[in-house]
Amino acid sequence: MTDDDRIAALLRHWQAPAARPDAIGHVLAAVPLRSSAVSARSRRWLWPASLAVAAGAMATLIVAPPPTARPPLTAHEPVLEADAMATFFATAEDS
Amino acid sequence: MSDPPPDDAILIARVADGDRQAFAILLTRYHARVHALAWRVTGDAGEAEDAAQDAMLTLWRRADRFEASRGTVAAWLTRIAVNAALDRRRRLRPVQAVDATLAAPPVSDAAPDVVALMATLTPRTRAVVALFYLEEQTMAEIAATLGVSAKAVESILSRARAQLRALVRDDD
Repeated sequence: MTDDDRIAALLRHWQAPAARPDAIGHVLAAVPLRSSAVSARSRRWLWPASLAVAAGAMATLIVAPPPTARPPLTAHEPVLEADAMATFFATAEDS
Repeated sequence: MSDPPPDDAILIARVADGDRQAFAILLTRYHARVHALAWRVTGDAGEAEDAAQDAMLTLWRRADRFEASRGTVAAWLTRIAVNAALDRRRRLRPVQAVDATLAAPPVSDAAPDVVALMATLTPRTRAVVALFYLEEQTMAEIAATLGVSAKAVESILSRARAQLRALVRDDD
């Protein structure tokens, strides 16, 4: 009997403990209902559905009321935007 | 007379189509084996449970990537299981570096020396030993499973054999 045979025989005793009895149930419970492993056939059906959802979202955006009007500038609010515009036009006229 | 159990290749194709029943059959068929392999690599019962779950969920998510021309479902799942177990160990390493030296591994009555010795090897070495001696994979197959060269596998196995030889000689 070679050393390798002895090692192989010894390793047969390297037995793992049994998994918990409910382990398979846990895996099944963890399987997501909507898997990413969706077949090409399923994807063909899902495309129109997702387009409809996207169209609905766009319609909501279009008809949604505009955001609350920006409050008027107060005396304390810096007017950096206006300054930047003035600088830009001044530069453009110079060139 | 009942129908013969469905073939793995048929089941995996159904799993790729999102068939949960086909997945349940593969799960029942392979879970114990995947769990045992994960335990041998991680050396920890809790981690083995989690790694086995990771592996089976990977099978569910990636069933559409299985290629029958490259091997069997069992071989593919073995590869997934070993890598899931090694990933678990990698994530644990900083936390368990101290524990590993202090906590003795669970020792079975049958052969305490084997379990204790295997606990002193690295997870990758344990994976190589398990795949070579228990799963009876070739060096090339192990290399493909671990994503390393066959030469590297040979070297890991050679070092592991030296340690295991010392054990079998001590028993004489």
